Amino acid sequence: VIDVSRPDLADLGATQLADQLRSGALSATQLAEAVCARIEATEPVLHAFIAFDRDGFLTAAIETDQARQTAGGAARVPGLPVAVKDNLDVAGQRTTAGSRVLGHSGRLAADDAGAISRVRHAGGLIVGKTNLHEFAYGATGVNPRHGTPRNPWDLTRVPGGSSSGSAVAVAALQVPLAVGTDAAGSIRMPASLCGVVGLKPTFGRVSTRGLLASHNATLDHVGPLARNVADAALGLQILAGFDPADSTSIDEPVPDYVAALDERDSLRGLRVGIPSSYFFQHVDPAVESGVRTAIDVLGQLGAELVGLDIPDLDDMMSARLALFADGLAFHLPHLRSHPELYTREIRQRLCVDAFVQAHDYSRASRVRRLLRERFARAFVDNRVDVIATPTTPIAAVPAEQWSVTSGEGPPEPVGLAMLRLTAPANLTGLPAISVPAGFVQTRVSELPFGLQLMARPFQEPLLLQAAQLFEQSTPWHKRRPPDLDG
Amino acid sequence: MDITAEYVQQVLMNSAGLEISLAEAAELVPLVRGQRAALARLDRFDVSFVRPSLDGDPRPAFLA
Repeated sequence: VIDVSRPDLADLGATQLADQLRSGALSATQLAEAVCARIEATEPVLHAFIAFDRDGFLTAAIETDQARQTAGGAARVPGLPVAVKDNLDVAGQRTTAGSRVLGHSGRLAADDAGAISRVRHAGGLIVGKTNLHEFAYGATGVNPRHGTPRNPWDLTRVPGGSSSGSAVAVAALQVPLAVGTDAAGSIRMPASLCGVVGLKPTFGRVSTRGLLASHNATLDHVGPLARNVADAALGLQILAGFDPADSTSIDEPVPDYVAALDERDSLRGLRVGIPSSYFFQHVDPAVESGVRTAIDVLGQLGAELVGLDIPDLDDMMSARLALFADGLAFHLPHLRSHPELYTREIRQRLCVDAFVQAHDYSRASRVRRLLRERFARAFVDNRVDVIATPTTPIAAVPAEQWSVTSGEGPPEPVGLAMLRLTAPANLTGLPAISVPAGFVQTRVSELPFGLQLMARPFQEPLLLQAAQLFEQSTPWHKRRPPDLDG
Repeated sequence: MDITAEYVQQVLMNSAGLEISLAEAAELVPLVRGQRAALARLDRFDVSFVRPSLDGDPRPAFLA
């Protein structure tokens, strides 16, 4: 029997729910039933999930409650529902990566991914596997194979990708917390387009073991999507930590991200860099205006706003094209044997990747090093703590739209436009967060967009503090998408 | 070099073992041209003395 007597549960964030679960005011089973009811009511419209493990989730919730009764418990989030992007392994479940290439229903995972082990260790319960752009190879979230997740703010528009289902599930109140991955902006872009918070941590902060190696592993990251900054901090707290079995993991102490949120009540003493080029070029005027207003809020909170320039960024970002060809090592055998299993979009993109030559890759790797140095100099020479930019140059576009003209720029494929402002943090490995910063009004809907904040390596506490103070000074995170279940 | 559908088809066959039709290859021509133009933008950077930072920690392989 589904308990729908607590419809308010769906609207509570991860922090509030975790508090109630820890105190015993709410049982894991009660919450799991409410989450199931919400998913079953909205999923036929949203397509946020590829696999919803209803029975496994409810059973785990009952077991959590039983274990707490007999043994007590000191878990951080006992019974908190967490959705997982379907390119991360969950033991005993199939990983499809949003494709048919790994078999009709995916590859059975023997073990949990490193990040998922941490979710379980903290007491979190895996609700299911969320939808994504095929192989996380796109920025719109359009997925003909598994059904495109719908943007809850306007069902005719894309949710952004590639962690499309994770963003939709959080925005549509299906789950309080989701895990996504980000090789060019795939956590932050859908967060921006769906009006939620998305955090890409510093490279090496969160284990990527068990993340399908269909991308360049030096660009890929795992991180949380949540409804507010405090919940994102809690998500990172759960996920972060050294994994000795992951060659990309970095052994750096994990600070208390949640406690850090209370350590600052203004942005006094903080210097926020505003790039004069690249990040504000070819941006939709309504988005640019909203983000500049958001930056003014940072100033009102006490931050010193500093103009800065990162030279040659536009040219340097071409390195991404060569670095992404690394993924061919995974795809080529599949592409040779069963090209028809790929969508046309991804098949074409992979074929083009095959034209990247060894010297292209080598040069791109070296230019990437220069790019990292340019960013480091921008932070150090200008003595800035945070760089503020739009997350995406546009808000969500209709699902059938393939090109866009942002600001005064030439027409550009939507997918490329979308990742233009997020990908630098992948090449540099710097932490970056997207926080809701306003809405663009269309004829029939209001569409959210995000403010992106980037910081120095492992400065997530500062990033979260700045994002939360901004959030608390603005109304955007309190707005909810139109009712989806009537 | 002029990038034609025939060239695209041959390169994919010879260097990647991918068999595609000439019509598919023709669709890729503008995409390959765009990629080459974009990668050419990297040529202006002097990388003679740049050592890229690659993952080099030997410990994890013994712990997996």
